Amino acid sequence: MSEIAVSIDSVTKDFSAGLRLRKVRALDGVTLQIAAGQIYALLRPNGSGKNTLLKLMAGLSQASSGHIRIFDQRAGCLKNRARIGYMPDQPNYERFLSGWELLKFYARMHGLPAKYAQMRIKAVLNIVDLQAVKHRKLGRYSKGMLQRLGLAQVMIHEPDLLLLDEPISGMDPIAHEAMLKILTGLRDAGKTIIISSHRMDLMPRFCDRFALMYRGRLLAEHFANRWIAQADGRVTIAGLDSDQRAKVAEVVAGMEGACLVDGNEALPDLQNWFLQTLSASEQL
Amino acid sequence: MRQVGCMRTLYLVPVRSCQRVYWLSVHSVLEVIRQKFFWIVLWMIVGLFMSSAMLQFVDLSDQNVQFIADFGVGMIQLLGTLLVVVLSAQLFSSGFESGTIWTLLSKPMLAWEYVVAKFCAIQLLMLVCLALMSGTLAWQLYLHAGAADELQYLAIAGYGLLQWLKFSIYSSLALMLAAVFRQTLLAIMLTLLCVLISHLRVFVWGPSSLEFREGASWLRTISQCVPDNRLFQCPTVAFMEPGEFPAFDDLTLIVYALAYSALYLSVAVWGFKKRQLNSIA
Repeated sequence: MSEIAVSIDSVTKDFSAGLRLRKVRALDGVTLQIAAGQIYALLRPNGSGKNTLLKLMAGLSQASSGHIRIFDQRAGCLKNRARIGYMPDQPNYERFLSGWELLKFYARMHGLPAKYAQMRIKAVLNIVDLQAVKHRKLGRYSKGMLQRLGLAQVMIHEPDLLLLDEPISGMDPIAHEAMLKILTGLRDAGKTIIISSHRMDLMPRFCDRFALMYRGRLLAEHFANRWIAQADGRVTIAGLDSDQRAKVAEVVAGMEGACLVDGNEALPDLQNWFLQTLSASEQL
Repeated sequence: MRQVGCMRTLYLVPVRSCQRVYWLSVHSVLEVIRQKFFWIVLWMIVGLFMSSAMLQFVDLSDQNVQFIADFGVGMIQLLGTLLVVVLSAQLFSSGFESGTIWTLLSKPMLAWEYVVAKFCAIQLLMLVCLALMSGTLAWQLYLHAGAADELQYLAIAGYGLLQWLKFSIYSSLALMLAAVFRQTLLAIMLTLLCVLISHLRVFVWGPSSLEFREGASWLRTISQCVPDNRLFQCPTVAFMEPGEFPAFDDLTLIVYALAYSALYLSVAVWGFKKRQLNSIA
């Protein structure tokens, strides 16, 4: 069995908001396990709590209740942070620095020795194709360039777990392709990548698994290009060859109350699945 | 470097906190000195000091040098206070307001390192500003009076250091209030209010405080929350003999400033942690 990179157990997060310090629940009993070496996407409408979940995983905030463990250690401890790369949803970086200076700063914060840091900066700038503008001030970078720089700062210390908040927003199709290629390359190198996104069209192409979050709750999980597990116990398979289908059938047979629905060979329509699941959740 | 398991781990040997504080301080200094606003303010301050050269067109007879000295000392206090308070509150909150803090906090870094690094960066910048202000004041005095016996140029440098010590307290106070109240403008206003209160401590500690009688004891207790500003005052510094200058004689003044700064910074760290953990995503 593969190593568990992230283990989230009944996590709840409450905030106090407004003058009256009204309690707002951003996460409501989320339980999730993410295996190492895969790309996992958190799909969501706005305000569903995925941003908070990523921040909890990155150790930027603490859960009101429940536990988060990253590589079997408490989330947020210094040792863990050295193994994590976090990219926030807004590419807000220090505009007074150049790309090179920003990466140098983060490399030094991670404790990379000067020479090794220089080598890593060159390597990641090449990967994200920003070598030509490395000495330009960040205030003059486009949003797409800032997103790519964000990925560069995530990769600078070779983390085992990458937490990427909306990594492809604001990018043109060419940049999308380049970004997805980089991410699949990192996955193939054994890195675990957790992405939050609302891009249904791109998810099945490179994610191994994804979850739908809504109003702080985890509604369903989806194994991309393999099978869909639904709350009513039906498991629809699609896009599998005969061997894979047999294996899934074997697994489903062992699940109490589950039945196998043979879907068509085409990839599942994620957009519909997303909306149907949301609609079912609203009716509950 | 000590040998550890694999190459990756080799390079991720935890760096010491002081190294992280150093890099964060450099980062904060860069943040300030690369802003046009900072340079505009700095040149305005220098311009203001230089404006005392205009006195050559006004005849104040023997009072010219005295006027320049008083004006310079007053300006160092006023502009220095405004600069340190605004700089501290702004520098602390800028990361939260621009959103850059989230990337930074995901790095292996502790809350106290962030606060102390900001404090160190502000102290470095204030040292440069005070050197500039004191230097310009001394230069102006030299232009008007030359190497007159009664003028003590070394004491002016000492006065700059004394004010630097005082500004370290103001800086940590502003950092604390910015961390606790989360609003830059509010933090600036409250810090300036505390500075004002520190000037008014004389009313509860001076001879006239006897009039308070019963109330004096608790007012005195509350007033301990802010430093006594009178300890750092020295209006006739330019004409003092070296032996008369308080800062070099009294080591307790340094301990006093350090104690207040440490206290305020501790609360700032607590406020920073609370602010970070409660920020709505």
